[in-house]
Amino acid sequence: MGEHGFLGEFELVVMLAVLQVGEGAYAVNIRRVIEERVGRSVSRGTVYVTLNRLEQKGLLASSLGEPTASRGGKAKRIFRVRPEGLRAIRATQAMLREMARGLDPLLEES
Amino acid sequence: MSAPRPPRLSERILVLLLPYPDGDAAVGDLREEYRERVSWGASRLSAGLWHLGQALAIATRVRFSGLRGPGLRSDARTAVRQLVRQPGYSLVIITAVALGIGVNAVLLAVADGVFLEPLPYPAADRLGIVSNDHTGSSTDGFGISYLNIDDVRTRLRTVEEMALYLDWQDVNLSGTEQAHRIPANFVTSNYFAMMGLEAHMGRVLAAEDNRPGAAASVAVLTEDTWERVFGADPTVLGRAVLLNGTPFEVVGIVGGGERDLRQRYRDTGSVGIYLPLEAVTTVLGFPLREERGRRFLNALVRLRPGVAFSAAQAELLAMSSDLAREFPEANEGWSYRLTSLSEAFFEEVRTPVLALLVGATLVLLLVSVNLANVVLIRATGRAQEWAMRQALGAGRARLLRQLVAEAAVLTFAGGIAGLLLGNWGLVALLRTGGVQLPAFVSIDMDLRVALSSLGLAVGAGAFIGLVAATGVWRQSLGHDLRESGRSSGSLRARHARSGLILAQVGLAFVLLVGAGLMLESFRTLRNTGYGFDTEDLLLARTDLRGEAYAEPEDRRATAEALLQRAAALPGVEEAFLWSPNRLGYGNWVALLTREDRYALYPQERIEASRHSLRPGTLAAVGIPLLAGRDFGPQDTPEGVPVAIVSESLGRALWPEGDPVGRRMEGYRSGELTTFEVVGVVADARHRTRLIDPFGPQLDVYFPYSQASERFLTLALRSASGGDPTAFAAPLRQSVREVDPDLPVYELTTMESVMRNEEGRSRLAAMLVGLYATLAVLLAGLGIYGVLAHAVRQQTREIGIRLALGARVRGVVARVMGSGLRLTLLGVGSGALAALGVARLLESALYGVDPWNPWIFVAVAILLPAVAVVSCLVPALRAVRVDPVEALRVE
Repeated sequence: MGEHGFLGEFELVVMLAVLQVGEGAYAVNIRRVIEERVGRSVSRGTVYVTLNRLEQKGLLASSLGEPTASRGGKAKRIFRVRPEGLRAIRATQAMLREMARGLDPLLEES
Repeated sequence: MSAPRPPRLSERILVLLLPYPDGDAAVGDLREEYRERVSWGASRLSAGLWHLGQALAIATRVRFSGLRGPGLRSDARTAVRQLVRQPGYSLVIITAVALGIGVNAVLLAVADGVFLEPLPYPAADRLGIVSNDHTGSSTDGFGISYLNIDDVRTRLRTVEEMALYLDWQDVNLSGTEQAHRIPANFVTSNYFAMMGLEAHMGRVLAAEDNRPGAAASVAVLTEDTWERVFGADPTVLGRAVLLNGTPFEVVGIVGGGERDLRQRYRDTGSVGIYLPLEAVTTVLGFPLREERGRRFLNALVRLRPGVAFSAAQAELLAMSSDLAREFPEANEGWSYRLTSLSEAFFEEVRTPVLALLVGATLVLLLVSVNLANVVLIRATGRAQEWAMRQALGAGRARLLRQLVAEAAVLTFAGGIAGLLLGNWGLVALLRTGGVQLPAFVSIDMDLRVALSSLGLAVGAGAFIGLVAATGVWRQSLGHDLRESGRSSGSLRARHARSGLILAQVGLAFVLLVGAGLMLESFRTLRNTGYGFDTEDLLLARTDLRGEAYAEPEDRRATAEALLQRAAALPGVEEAFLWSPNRLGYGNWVALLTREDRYALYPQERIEASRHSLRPGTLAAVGIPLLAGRDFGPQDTPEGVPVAIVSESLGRALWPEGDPVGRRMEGYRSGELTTFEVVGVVADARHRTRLIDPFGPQLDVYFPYSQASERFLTLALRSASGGDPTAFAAPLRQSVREVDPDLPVYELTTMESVMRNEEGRSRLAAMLVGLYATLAVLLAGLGIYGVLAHAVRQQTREIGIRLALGARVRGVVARVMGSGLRLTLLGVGSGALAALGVARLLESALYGVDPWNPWIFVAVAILLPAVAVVSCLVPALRAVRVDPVEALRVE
């Protein structure tokens, strides 16, 4: 996020995806939400890297979930959005809105 | 049912490469998705491959993100910086890896095309070819008889479908603007569906086209013929053409001729026309149902699903014995043989390709061992640097990773270079013509080959890095900060290294001698002629086929006319006729015995290549007459049957000597005939120039007036220096003037015939040469490695010696002496081994003594010379030791 407090495009997408999933967001369902809503394939590696980065920046928090049988006893790494993360999403969206102001005729879909 | 588990390997990759708990979480995530895939019906294999791919992708992506501590990227960057600083060292390693990978890449590409690509037919893995074997014969793969197979075909329970075909004949196609020679396949109508051949225009053959005794005169062209002969004329359907003089109607065009079964013959060209099997009688004159003993067909079978080839073979064998019992006269000693299609296509190349592939893998292994040795030695040399870095806080794991990264960068660069080299080598290899494969096989560096080659390179890199890393690990790093590696390398390790060098020098010696012998033999071969004058010769074939040439006098008249026109072409010095073989070939043969012994003593029959010539031809091609006379006007069609024998044939028939005037027996146009030998000529190498050029050459020559064969070779010699190919067009024109229905085919120069023949030996010489180059390089590397190591260990000692006034020359001599001693030992043992191996090579050599002293001497000089260069680098480094520095290290 850097000093300016804004999120990169894919970072924003991942943050929103974590919110969309709500309780129990982890790499598999986060990626699925993104693919369903955006309609394009996202590599698993990129999702992991971005999740890690967002956690390092203090925008996401993670904890180990219950190991289930379908995962062969491996725990899930469950993510949730921290208050700082929510702030960053808001700031980024506000910034985008600000930048787009007055461009409606140009940007609106015909 | 226990839940399916993804491959352990790919899970381990994740756990190893990703820090906890990322690795574990990712493993769990992928397990979930893996199971989902399997439950949707994905096969274990495809799901497993998917899993492996994902694991690698995730691991690389996360490691390379560079955010979780210094990642691989920085390792790689440091490694590149290190290696650029030592260009000589890097270059040697990259070259060695490049050669190793290059050889592997070429062979992988060939193996990929030959073994892995599925054959392009529906249910290809259930298709096979049925042929006949005969107990008394050394050759196998005879055709099968129509009456026999017709008796058993409905009884075969392992066979789902059977098509019959005859695919080894060419036909004359005329009635078009120009006559052509077209490779034909006579087939039953189900052949097309079995081979997956479909009509692009019109139709393929139908069952009623093959009604017994009432075959339809219809033909299906391949696209190639349609384009070449008819200029892709869209109105060709319904056109009448003449095939060997018999009218046929074109009813369809099929694609895919390059996939036809004819492709399993080398050198005969792709099929150009399909005809009903029943037409073999009208077009070729073969009786289909008259004689049970005529075996000119093959059967294409599709086995029932789930039936093993061995089971079908067993059933066919049972049928063979039934047939032998029912019709002993025609079938005694004959048995069916079933060959899978892939075997039929690739039988010949399979073994050599596999052997070469194993060889290449061994070479790569040898490269890796050597490089590991060198890298280890360099690493030990840097022991103090490592210790320092560790003391400054770098983790041990990080240092080792650095080593592995260096090896990986080197081998990766080597791998890329190897791919380029391999690509170039593959083009060169295919151009030699030594490898002949069916046209549907495409051999190239596709992605799969490239990736597996790079995989090999990376694997080699990992191996090298790990060996080096373990070596460094073992020499406790803290220890080395105090002592300058005096303790490194136990005595046992040093002995092992010396042994390795010895073996490598020995191996290099053997390979170099082998390469030398092969090259020398190739040179001899090039210089070994046929025993006749091959210069400036243009050859063209034609076939006097059909009703118009039923009588010998018609053939003679046309041959005469063809010859006269050819000789009259401007720029032609002389023209002559050779029949039925082509010059330098001996496929058409005659079986001969001394008089009155042919029927009684079949074991005495001698197989000789037969040639029909006009008077003067032997002199014109420069085959000298040794005794007796040439053919002449007195040898009329009605006169006494005469023959000229080659020196070796004369000796074989009459060991007591002087064959002129004696009589021998053999079949001529279906009749047992007695010939009088009127002359003896020197041996010429019509058939065995490459196989046994100095062995006996069995040839018999008949006058064309008495043996008026159908196949003709017209040979034109241009006025010296003229280009023989310039006659191609005028020659075609003059043949058309004589008879527009006569095709001209296999138009070529003697020069290119010879070049093609030599392709295989050239290839063998090239490959051995390549392996030998590698061996020398490896031996050099090995010597360098061991000596550099020794110098490093003796730094202090050398320093003291220099400080005490030892002379530089003495130091150099000491270091080099130890390397050269090893080399000479290797040369000695290698020479002994080479003496033995050379004997084994003998059968593959032409006119070269396997113990050719010059080759041995040359190799015995070359190898030590390479060793001197390898020794020089470490020796000079020893001299540069600064005594003060060396002592201060303590």
